[in-house]
Amino acid sequence: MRVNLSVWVQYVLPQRLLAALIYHVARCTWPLVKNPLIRWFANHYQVNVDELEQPSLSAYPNFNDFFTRALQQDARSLVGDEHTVVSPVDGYLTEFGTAAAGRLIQAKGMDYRLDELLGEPPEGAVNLVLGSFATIYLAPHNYHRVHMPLAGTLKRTRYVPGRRFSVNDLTVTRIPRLFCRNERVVCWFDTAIGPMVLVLVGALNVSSITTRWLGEIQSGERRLWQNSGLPQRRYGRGDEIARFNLGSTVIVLLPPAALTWNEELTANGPLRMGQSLGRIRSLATGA
Amino acid sequence: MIGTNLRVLAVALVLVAGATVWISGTRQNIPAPAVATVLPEPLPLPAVQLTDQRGLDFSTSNLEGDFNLLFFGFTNCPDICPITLQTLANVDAELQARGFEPPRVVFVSVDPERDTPAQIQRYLGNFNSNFLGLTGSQLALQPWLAALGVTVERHQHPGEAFYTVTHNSTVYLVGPQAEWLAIFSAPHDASVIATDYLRIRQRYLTQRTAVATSS
Repeated sequence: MRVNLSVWVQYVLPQRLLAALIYHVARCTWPLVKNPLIRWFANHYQVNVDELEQPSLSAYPNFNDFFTRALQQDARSLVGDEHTVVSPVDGYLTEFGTAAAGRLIQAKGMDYRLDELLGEPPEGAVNLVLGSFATIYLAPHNYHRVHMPLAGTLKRTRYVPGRRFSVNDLTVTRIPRLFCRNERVVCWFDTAIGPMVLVLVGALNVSSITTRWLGEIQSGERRLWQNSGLPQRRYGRGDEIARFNLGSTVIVLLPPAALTWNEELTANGPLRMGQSLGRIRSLATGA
Repeated sequence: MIGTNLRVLAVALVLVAGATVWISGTRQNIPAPAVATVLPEPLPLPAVQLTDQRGLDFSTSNLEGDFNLLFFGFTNCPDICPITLQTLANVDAELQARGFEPPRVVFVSVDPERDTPAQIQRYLGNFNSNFLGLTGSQLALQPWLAALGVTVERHQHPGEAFYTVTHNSTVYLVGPQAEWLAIFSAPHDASVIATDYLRIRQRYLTQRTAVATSS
């Protein structure tokens, strides 16, 4: 019963207010507030302090800066070459595979529609151009910056309003269509093998998501909007493109059958930024 | 673990109750800029033909595709220019550190006699070698000076070769369609400019592109 309670209580939580509150607490610069908070967090979640660019916890101006901390330059390395799709984040690979009939199949029957996830009109072309997907959950202790899995040019960004359910395993497996109900930022890129989409899913404690090109997108907007990415910049594989201001999930989408998945991947296994998700197939044909 | 979750939730609920009043006034998702003055309507910049620090032709359309911070000055400037350019270098560094794309910084020389492209290139290297430097005759510059209201006045004491140029210290924000969007007036503060820039950029990029809900 207790297990269910912590899921169902989220339906009635004032999620928007909670996000606004956390936003302010996480940015509080009072040493009496932020230092114990950072220390507690680092201990409780066993953050690997040794790999941080700034290992002194009290040097972070606020909790959010610690949460979105930078790593030392050699802390992560990109596997393979430009044909290797790498994990954009540190986290846990919850699902990966190929969409079937426009549906992303998830464990325990909690699958959802691709067009709905991306905030696209139903029966749109998205089901044809995308299909390979990997869903990666960022645990609280993880490094929270998002990097490019593959080189690409930014085409557009869409904000889809929604709820802020927790994205932990417990909740994801109990609340239907969760990734389509949470607010999310959908980033479209053009790559050597066609479109690549990164879906940055908001969650219970995510007060904002920042992207390099749009700045900070605060949680709780009520309308869907789209930006066609005026500065259409090209980002290299491994370039930092976004940060989660408190934890969440990233879904990487590529054209159907675009990938030969890395055979070592296992569902629910840990991932590190730069680790191989797979090799792209069609580069040899000059696509 | 579950018990901990519940306790955290309970504490959060109490905090929320206490903070409701405080927070309820902060619903605006993109705050207004704090210091920058935003033009009610963007003004397209007139065409000019200038030269950049590599000696290449530069026209107004080269500003397109990105946000730009324009600053007018001269490399022999003793005070305002180095301070402002250092501030703009700090803006760039702060935005990069915060994970954001910085705007292009454009230094426009109002002293074409002394400021050759090579001289500008050397000078900008003191601050940030990615800055763009432009120069051109007074006549070539005139359309921008007039449109933006840049004041330039040459001061030379009789019998002395050295002269200074008095100019205003305003920083102009120009959008990706080469349109003038906003101004930052002195005194400049890097953090304020960085934060206001992000707000203006986000408003710009999201207001114009709202789409009908399809989910």
